Amino acid sequence: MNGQGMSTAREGKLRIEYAERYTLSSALGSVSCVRRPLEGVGRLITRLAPLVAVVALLVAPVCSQAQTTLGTQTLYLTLQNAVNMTVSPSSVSLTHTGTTFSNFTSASSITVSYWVRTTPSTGSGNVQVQAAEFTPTGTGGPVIGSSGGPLTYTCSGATLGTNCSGNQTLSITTQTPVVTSIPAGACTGGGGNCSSAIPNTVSTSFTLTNNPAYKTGSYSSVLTFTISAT
Amino acid sequence: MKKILLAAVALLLSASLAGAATVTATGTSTLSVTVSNEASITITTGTTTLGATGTVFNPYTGTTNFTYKIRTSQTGGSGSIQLEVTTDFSGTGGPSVGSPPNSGDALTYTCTTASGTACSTAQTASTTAQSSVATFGTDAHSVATGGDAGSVTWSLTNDPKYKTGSYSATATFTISAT
Repeated sequence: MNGQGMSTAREGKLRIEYAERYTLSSALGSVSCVRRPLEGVGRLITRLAPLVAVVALLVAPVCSQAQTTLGTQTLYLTLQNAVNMTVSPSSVSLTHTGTTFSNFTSASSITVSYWVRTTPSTGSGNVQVQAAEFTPTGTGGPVIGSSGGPLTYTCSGATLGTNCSGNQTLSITTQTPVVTSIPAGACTGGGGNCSSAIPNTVSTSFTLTNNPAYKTGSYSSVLTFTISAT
Repeated sequence: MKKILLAAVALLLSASLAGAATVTATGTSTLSVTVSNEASITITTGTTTLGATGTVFNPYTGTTNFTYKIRTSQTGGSGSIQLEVTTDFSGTGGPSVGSPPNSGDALTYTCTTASGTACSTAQTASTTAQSSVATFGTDAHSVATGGDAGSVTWSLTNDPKYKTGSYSATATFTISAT
């Protein structure tokens, strides 16, 4: 820090008679700040208000010596229930090996990553899945239908809530459970009342009956996972 | 001023109510599957006993049952069930598929299948070549969940020249699909 004076002129009218330069040095570099007499600052702000505002904003964080407490303000933040999710991978092949007509199973599991915040006391949340019919439709391939279809799945490893148990049968008309019982006041990350996992995850694996009645060909079905919370 | 206060209260109230609403988010993944030609067969009669009934020197007969599943390609596909005697009757002086005591001696069979086209006439089993049980065309499918049923009814010449005794042979069934 040094007190060497500095003169600056703007538009040939303002002249700062005295100012102090503060230089803060560290291994990462140095930052210089200027503190000027109050009587000159008023005029400067009048003429150079925009510039002063910008400089003040830029300099404020690193020049703690120049800060003046003007007052206090209480910030109120209302956190509401919220959710977000990603599904990976975006596509999975159902394959079968070994014995003929053994079922098709997903080559890899589908992982649902989810973030959730539920309302304290009364809130809850869940993750569900619903399938769209295999396409192309009407060509003799597998048909999921509204109930009792050939496409089933299992869930494992939910890090928040309870993953579905046993084999679940997919439907094209109703959502079926993946994660249930996400409790009130739940939140993702941070530990304590919240989960330690960030994000929360659950794995799903799918099985398709290998019915000889299926015509040969390639078919696909889009799965839509939905997370909801109150 | 009163209006402003009312508006503020309404705003706070609506914000409070909004907190109770259900929020949702979605993500998708696509499952894909390639269904190919495939075939399998299960012999449900593990051991078939050939027995002679009625008039003396009637042929020895018996039935072997099986189930099968088959799916042939939609374009240019086909399928078949065939059999071959892979182990001839054991012992000497008895019946033989590969080397019968007399030229008229033979192991023949007739066929039934729930789908496809079963052999229409009696076939003669061989130890050196497969013979037909059934054939399937393009885009053929077995129907039943557990597999379609089929059978082979055997007939073995009852040649007086055969020495008395017990003899056994092994027939191997093969199903294929393209």
